[in-house]
Amino acid sequence: MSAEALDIDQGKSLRGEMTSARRRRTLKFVRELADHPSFLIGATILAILTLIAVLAPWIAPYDPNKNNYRDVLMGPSSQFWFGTDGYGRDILSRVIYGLRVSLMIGLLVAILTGIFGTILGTAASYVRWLDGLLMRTLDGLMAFPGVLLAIALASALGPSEMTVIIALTVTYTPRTARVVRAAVLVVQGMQYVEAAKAVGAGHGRIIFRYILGNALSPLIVQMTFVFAVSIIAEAIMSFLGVGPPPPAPSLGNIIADGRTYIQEAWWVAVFPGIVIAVAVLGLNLMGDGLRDIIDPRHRSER
Amino acid sequence: MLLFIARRLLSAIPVLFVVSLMTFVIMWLVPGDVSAEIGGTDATPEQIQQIREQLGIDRPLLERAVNWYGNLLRGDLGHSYLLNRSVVDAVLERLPVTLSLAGLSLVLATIMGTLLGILAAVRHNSWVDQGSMVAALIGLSIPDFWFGLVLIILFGVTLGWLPTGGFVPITEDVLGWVRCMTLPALTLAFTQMGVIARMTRSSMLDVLDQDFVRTARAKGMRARTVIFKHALRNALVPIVTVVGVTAGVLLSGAVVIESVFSLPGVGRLIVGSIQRRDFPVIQGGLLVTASIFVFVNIVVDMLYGWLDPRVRDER
Repeated sequence: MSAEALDIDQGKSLRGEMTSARRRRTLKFVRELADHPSFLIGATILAILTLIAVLAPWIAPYDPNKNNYRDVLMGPSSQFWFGTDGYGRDILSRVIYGLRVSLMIGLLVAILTGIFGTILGTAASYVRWLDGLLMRTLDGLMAFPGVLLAIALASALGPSEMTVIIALTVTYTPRTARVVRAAVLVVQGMQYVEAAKAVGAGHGRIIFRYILGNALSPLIVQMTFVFAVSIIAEAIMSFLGVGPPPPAPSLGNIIADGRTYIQEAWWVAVFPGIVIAVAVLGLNLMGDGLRDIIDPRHRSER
Repeated sequence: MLLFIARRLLSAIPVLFVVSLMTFVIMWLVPGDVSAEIGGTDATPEQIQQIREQLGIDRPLLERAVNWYGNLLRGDLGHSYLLNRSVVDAVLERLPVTLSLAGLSLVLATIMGTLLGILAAVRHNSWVDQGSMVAALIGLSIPDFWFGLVLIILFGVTLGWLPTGGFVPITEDVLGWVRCMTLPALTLAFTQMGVIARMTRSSMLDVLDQDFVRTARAKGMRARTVIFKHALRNALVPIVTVVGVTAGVLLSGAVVIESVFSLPGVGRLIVGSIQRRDFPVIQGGLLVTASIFVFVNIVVDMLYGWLDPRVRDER
């Protein structure tokens, strides 16, 4: 065997060891997740709700938009589990379809803020002269309290699902960018990044291969929380009339309908809110669990 | 300390600039033309042109921006399209309701949250601890406007103890004011109490572990004195921070809750103006609430510097 061939063999086995180490780490992570009670409960809740949302056309007992003037404002019964609204529409069916809208909006906002947050956060920490400008701009965006910015943006753009997604993405991207920036800043000073620079790796390779991998865990935790707040924010926006326009069944729209009948039909407003709370609770539990496992310092908190 | 305050105030300027720029951009994003809506359906083209000139929206963008900043620096936020008065007057008139609602719920949330957190920390790992943390998590997950509706159904409609909405100024009838502010303040306080309780608990747990607490206990000091005088005081910095963040959240929460309980505050003004497409009022309301938010954050930072001198010297 020539010396060259031996080298290649060694290289191969070394790489093999590395992948198996990585696999072991992934396995350990999955096992830890499966052992974490709050993550497990949260993930189960979310899985069930997602299943219901996806299977809505087969699960929903009635057409969510079909008026039925014989059964107006009926209380919860075996026929209509969640009762009916002022047009005789089945609340359960509307809630199931509304869940679909809410989860889709929440997921899209989480993904979009993840993407834009990563771009802006990495740019701010990697490109020195951009940092001050970008961060001050994001501070300014964060100065609008809560969903107020999203409400104003949506009101200017006109109500639609797309508007809600854009408005919420603009609102929650700054926070995500900050999380990514902080994570990237920590890694940037590490020796292995220096080493990669020293052996002549390009910016793209350094960012994607060595830096972003380490920002991934805090980013995923952050995205879980953005998912949760977006569901609530969408409901607030629909409630105030800047969400997807009625009669589209969004959870916020149904609550807004319910407000009209609050004196005589409590069920219209109450049930969709419970579903929102359960979905958000599931996501919060998942986020808490993920954070515990990724960052053990938080574990002392509970 | 003075230098610290000055630096903190200066850092607010770029933030406020972005805030004002953003409010301007939002207005500019509005598709179509509001002048047709103001004129009504039977307005002649000449009338609409006149309205456009009055509003200044026939000017180029840069000129509009310069005008807007010029007026802004003079404290002029423009004129409402529909209320027939200046935006500053309209917002200032509504501000006390919003601020008193946010303030009242902040006080409630802080008292309930810290007490719950202290209780959870002192009885660490007991059912009180677990129960209060579950309650905190549920409070975090409930949409506050919906919780307000549930309280209305419960205490307003079913039990009939409190009004379902509406407002009585404190100057007219103190008891009436308390009655109509109770439910909205409780709504907001309940959803934010959890955040404060969680932070108080973890901060207290850290402090209770430390030597000086053990010493205080060992020398026979009463448990209550140890907890409130020694432990709590040292656990205060993170609690103050989270209360400060909560103040901002409550401000925006108040904006939404006002619409649920029909309280005549800035939030309801903004939401109503959105429905009426009265953009100067939306703009002004946004600007004022965001500025208050920035100001609250500065106050929190100062409190922070006052409680923990290390923060002052750091920067």
